[in-house]
Amino acid sequence: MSENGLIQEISEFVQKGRAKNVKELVEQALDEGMEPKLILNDGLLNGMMTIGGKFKRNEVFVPEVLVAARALNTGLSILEPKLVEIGNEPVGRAVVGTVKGDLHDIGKNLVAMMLKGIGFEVYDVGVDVSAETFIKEAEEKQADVICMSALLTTTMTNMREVILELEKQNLRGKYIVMVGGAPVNEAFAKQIQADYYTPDAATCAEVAKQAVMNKDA
Amino acid sequence: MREMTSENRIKMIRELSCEVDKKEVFRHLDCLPDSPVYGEMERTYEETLPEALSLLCPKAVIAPGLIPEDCEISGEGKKDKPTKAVFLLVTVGKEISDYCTRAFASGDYVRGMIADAMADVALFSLEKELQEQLRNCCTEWGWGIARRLEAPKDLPMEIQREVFLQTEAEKYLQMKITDGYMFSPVKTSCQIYLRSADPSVFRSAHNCRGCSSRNCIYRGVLPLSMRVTGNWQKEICVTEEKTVLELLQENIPGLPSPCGGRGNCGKCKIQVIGGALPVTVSDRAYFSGEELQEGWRLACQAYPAADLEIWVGFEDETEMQANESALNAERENTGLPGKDYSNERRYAFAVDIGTTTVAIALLYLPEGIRVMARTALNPQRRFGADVITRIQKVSGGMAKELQKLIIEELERLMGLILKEGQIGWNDVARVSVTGNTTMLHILRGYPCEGLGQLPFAPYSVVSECLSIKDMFPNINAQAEVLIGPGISAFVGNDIVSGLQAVGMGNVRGKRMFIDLGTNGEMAIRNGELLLTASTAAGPALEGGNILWGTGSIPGAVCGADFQEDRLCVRTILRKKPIGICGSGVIELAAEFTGKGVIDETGLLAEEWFADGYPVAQRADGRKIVLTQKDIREIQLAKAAIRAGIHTLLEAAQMNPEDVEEVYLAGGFGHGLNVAKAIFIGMFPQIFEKKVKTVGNSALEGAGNLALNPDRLLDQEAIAGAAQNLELSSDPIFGEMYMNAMMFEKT
Repeated sequence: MSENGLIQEISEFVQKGRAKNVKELVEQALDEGMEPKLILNDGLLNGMMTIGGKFKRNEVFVPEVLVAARALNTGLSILEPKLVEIGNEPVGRAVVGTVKGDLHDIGKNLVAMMLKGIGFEVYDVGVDVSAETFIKEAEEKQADVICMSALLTTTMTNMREVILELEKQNLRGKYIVMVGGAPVNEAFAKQIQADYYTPDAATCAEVAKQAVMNKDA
Repeated sequence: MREMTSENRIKMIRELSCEVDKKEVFRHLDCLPDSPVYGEMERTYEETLPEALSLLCPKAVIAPGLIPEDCEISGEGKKDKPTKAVFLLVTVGKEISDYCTRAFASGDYVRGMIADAMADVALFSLEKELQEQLRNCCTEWGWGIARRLEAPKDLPMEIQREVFLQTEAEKYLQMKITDGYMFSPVKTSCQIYLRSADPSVFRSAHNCRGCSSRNCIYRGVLPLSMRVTGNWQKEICVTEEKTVLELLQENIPGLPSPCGGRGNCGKCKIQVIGGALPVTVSDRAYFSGEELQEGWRLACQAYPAADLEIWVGFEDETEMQANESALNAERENTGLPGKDYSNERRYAFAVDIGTTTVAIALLYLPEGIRVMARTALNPQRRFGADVITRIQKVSGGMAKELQKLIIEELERLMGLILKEGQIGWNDVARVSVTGNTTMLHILRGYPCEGLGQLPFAPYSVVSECLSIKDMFPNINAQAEVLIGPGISAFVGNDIVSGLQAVGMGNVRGKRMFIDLGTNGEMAIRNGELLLTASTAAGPALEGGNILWGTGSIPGAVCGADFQEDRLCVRTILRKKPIGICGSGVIELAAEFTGKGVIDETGLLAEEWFADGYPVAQRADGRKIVLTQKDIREIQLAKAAIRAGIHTLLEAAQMNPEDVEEVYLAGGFGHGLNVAKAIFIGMFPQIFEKKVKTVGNSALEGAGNLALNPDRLLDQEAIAGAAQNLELSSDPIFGEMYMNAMMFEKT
């Protein structure tokens, strides 16, 4: 099989959520001496991006995205040691969490999943996360993006606390701050001076990638 | 009397059994059995179930409680003392949530999401049992229940802290609560009931209609009434959660919904006269503040929340008589001369299923003539004006519904014609059916997925011959059904039939065929060479996606002229204006261009930019306008047609002047003014003397086939010879499309 054919097939198996096939083909590609970066970008991430796009256009639903992400993850676990070896830089680094007082984690989990699927290194700090923890983690991991989730009107205000704390510590300009969750909207994001609001996890990942690329440029 | 301390009255409920219903879980996950990943999901579901069940740990407390006086309750007014209530807290425990978190962290997203859905379903499954327990408690305490409340809808979220404290949830349920008033475990339901002193009152059911979680899969609603006035008088009993438009469509057949209920075409505007409808995002985008004040709403976005009275102004377009003239235009004798019909069935039907219109003709075989014709709107129209929306609906699981609609409509129309002519089905030899590829796919129940996405592959476009019972289950007869071949996903048998009807099956000459419908199909003949293409002109030329657009029905504005500075319009059958049809749209654009109302780029002059140019006034006093957005729609449509013509000419190595005849087919019942279409650049100037309008050539072709089934060979020859050009990826088309945007004669 040609190099391109194999890579293309990896992408297609990711889209179909076939974890076992993805695993085998990534191993085969490595055995054949293909560039890990090529396998990652044009194979795994390409497949996930295609599914993400379809999700945004309502062509597929959450289950399709989940199985694709699972397949991607399987491939990634084989590829990761090689990527570390060659010192491959991720698209960016993101700290993801649900704000203080809020214990909802599904939305946040989906965001982490999609960010990983677009090539981010993701640090999930969990739920009920204080401003201090968000910032400490971001600093430690040299993150580019901080993603905050809130599902309650009573907790969404804590997003602002994180931004105020960043300002206080003179770190605001260093991070791209993104917010999301059922009660959050564009107007609220603007009001608390977050950089971006996105309505779903797939969009979040795309916007985050774009924002990091713009920042680096 | 002093309120008893609640402490000794807290009921702890442990013997709860929750159920995990598989169907419910998959409904939660938005995963239907036809999903390509259903099998994968099902496997994980089965693997996860035993462990999830072992982790579910349901328990609940029911306790009397007091809602503090500073805690405002919706609809209850200000209180000066605490309100008596009953609190109910139920959870399935923390372990299942931890399991989800672990699954997600390890990259097993599927398992995490399934376990989460299982927890939700399990929690909801307790509802019935808990309602019984609640009733028992209240009976014991001698109270009734006046109302069920939920935070944050009826009460501020802070109440959850009161419930937590007063039920001693920490002690009884080992629960915690965050600063944001959220319970841990997450899978907890907090219910608050207002007490009634009358024990016979027990209104503990959740009122879904008032609840803002419109997508909640457990939503159910109580009946209410909707009174309709305006063009119809109707009293509708609302028992299901449906939009006002859906309710109207169920009760008034044939109501249009050009954008398929997506809230962006504005055709379904209604006015609230009594009661109230909340303003939706689409309403805000569509109406001015003043209009919202007056009660204008989009029916496709509105959900009735209480008894309601509305005024409905949009038109019933079921029967369109306007196209009749086109249908009766030519009565060519194409039957089998000399054949003896004394022992034969003497009649046949020709049917053309258009995206917008359905046309049927009854043919008398011995003389080869059309004896009756009838047109009606395609009833699928309520699922969207264009084929793409229909494909989406079909792929979204409504295939059967759309198929049934068209089959029953055809049965109805044919029945009407036979009744009118006092003819029996036993005298009908065959039914010849044509239509675009999508319409025929829906009719045949073929999968439509391939039609809506690259590489746009139809399921089948080969010709078919069926017995009538196989297609029309309600018709008991011996006739056959014929469907001719198509060419591609976008160039269907309607075009093949049309080409046959105008004689383009013949290899002589240099001729062009243009169908001015939504797909904007066209064909060019240069000797042996036959090229076809679809330009995706959009529905504007049929009045679709135009604010006041409408089909070619009586009262539609079909022509316009400036006399001095006054715009004079003509309407179909000179009825009072109700909207603008395709030919009206083109004439208006031409007149506006000539008068400088729009510049050559299509920009509407400042004066009319905001509200549109007033075209006419309706009988109800409302103004019909043509807006900037409408003009953009026309612009896109006419540019697509022009670019398509150019691309086909190039591909056939011809110049516009080489073309001998141009056949114009399609929905323009009341004749397109060719000069005006040329004036806005839709056709090359040199076409003016070459254009021949041929009306519904698809029906003509289907009629030829009905008269003489051997014509199928001609159709096969056309379909076989045709080479289809894919315009969307054609660089010449792309370039011409941009060039053809200008409103100017070239």
